[in-house]
Amino acid sequence: MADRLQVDIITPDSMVLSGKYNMVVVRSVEGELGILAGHIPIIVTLSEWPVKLKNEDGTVTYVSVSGGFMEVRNNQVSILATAAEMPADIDAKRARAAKKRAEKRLLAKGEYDHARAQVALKRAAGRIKTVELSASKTR
Amino acid sequence: MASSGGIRQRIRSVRNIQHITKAMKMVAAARLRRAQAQAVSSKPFALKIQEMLANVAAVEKEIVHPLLLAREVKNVVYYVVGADKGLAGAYNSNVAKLAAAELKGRANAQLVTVGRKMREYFSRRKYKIIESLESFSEKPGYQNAVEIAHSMTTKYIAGEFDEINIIYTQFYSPLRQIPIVVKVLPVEPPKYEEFGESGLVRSKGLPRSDKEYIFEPGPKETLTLLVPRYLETLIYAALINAAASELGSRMTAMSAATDNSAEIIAKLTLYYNKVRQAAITREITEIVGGAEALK
Repeated sequence: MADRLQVDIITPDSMVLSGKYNMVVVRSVEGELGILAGHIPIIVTLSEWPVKLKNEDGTVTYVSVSGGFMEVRNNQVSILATAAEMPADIDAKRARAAKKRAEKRLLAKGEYDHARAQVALKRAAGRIKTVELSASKTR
Repeated sequence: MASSGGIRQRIRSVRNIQHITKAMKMVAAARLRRAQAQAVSSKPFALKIQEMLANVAAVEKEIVHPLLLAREVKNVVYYVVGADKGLAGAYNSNVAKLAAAELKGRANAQLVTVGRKMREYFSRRKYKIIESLESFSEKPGYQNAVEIAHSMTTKYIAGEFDEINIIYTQFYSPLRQIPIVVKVLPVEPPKYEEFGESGLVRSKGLPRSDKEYIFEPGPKETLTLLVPRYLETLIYAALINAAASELGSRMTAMSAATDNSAEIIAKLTLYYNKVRQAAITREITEIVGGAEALK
């Protein structure tokens, strides 16, 4: 059997996930990127998009990641992000509310910090996407 | 000789103080455990960021990043990290003393205080404080570090400051904490040999990877995003250390206070019993004396 990837998703406060997977798909700032075992060492800057992890049995796990970096070396994948959540830990309602709030703030000119609202919007969108993707897979 | 009622009152008040110190000791112990756990779980992230930065620095020989750029030092700023609350032994005064020594003779050095006690100490002594941060000294979150890093970065890039130092207390054990000064800006990229000198993050040093990395989008872009993260982890480590030191210091101080109050209670009780005994003896002699006189 081919080698598998040891994947660690690390935030400043905890290790969100650590396990063996067959494939990792991330979205970098330049586009999607799939990592299989035996990949050459690479450091990737990620955008706010769910990380897709393929299990051995073909099922897929999504993890919400707020940007950050991915480092691949010797079949060891380390994803560093300031925040990361498993789909089960995401409060979809809260994420939707956050998205709406951020959108409103972007429209209301001058009142709020636009850069911050922009970041908040991306973060919320990433979380919502994670929930949606994992829901569609379990069906 | 004090009245027995007065002594009883003192015993009661000492006992009340003992209750408080005991409770504070236990709370500090519980929080210290949590702070230590937090320090342990923050370690992988900090180490990995260091490692990545060292890798990028190894590939990019000519590193150009505004935060790495050292310039002629005119304006120095010190971030002094202390506690919001007192009753932590010499914790606050040790940090403050080191900071005062560091600031001495530097007329152009400025001050940012973290923790209420630090603000009080330095404003009382008429230091110029440009900013004071409060209310998270015991339980710093990563967000606090992000905010501090953000304000540091903005000011550094705007040219307000040419050097930023952080003064905090390095935690070794509940009985041993040492205040230190660490230069955080300009950032000095970590080298493999000097791994993990920052904060609770200590390690033996990782082996130099023989393989060269490829970067997406590119080393420069990666660096641009990596350096601020690195700064955040440095500050976060400092905050966690300070919190652990504060709690450790408080735990030790309150434990000593509890022991001392037990000692005082024992002494006072003995004294009280003696006074009571003396009063009884005196009364008996009086009665006996009175009876003798009636004969």
